[in-house]
Amino acid sequence: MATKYTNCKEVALRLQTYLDGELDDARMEEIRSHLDACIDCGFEADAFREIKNDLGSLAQPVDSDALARLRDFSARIAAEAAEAN
Amino acid sequence: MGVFCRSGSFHRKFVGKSTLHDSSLLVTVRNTNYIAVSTASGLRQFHVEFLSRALGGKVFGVETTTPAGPVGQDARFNEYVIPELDVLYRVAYSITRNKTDSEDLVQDTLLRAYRAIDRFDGRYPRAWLLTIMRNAQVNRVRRKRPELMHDPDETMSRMADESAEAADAETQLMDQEFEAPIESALAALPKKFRKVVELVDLNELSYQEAADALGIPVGTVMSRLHRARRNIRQHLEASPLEET
Repeated sequence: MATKYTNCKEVALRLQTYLDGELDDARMEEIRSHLDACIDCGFEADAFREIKNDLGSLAQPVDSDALARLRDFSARIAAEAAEAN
Repeated sequence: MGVFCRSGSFHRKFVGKSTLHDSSLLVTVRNTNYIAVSTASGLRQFHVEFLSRALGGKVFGVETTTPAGPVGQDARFNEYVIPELDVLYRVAYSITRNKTDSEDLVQDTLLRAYRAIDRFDGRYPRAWLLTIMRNAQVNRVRRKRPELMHDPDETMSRMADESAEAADAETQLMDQEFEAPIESALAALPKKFRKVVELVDLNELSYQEAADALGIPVGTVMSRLHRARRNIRQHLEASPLEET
């Protein structure tokens, strides 16, 4: 099926926005179709998808002690507001 | 008879038709499946499903709202803010690159959010909180470095860059020998590009949320992010293959 993004240059312009899921459904589908049909663009998409996944794997878990302290702090805000009223 | 939902500001909103005979007013509270109904015999609580059946099985858009005042303020704070603590801390760390500063910044954000929660409309709490965090950060910089405040947006990234500088230099030196190629590719990015990558790819913020956190337009987030990934790719392609 012919799609709006049959031009590889246009797909390249929107490829990363596509990989981030930030396009509307219709455009996502148009690019998905193009990537399925075009080997070069499909290769590009795989390369950037892998980079994105590798970057995601660098995310560190939040320090649980810090999170606990912030929860305590939140509770204290409410308690102090109640006292003030 | 109309069924009305009373909001925290005692504003009545029409939410649907009902055949509930002795009630014309619903007082709803967030975080609960029970709805308090003002009836002829006084205030009574009903489970929302029971109430729906009582209304003839019609699913109508009961708007759950919270009364004003300290109780409502706490409920809204717990509903909108507490679930975002994790993200707030991650973003604060991306901005400050320092654990103590991150906690301070989140605390400042929490205080501001608590004071403003009554005015928050309930939509996009993360975006709302990230904007508060950005303003809090700008104010923190203003207190420390008033001369930098000519351009708040520029100051935001400059301040983040500077506070990250010391930690970066040391970390980079220590990690250089051990880090994976993707880590060194990320570390090699100019800071304003790296920050966007951290927010979107590591912390999974949307473009809009990253824009809110950094105080820059969405288009700038996109262009920095895309350029950063291209740089990372070039860096990886130029890296020697790992020995197996």
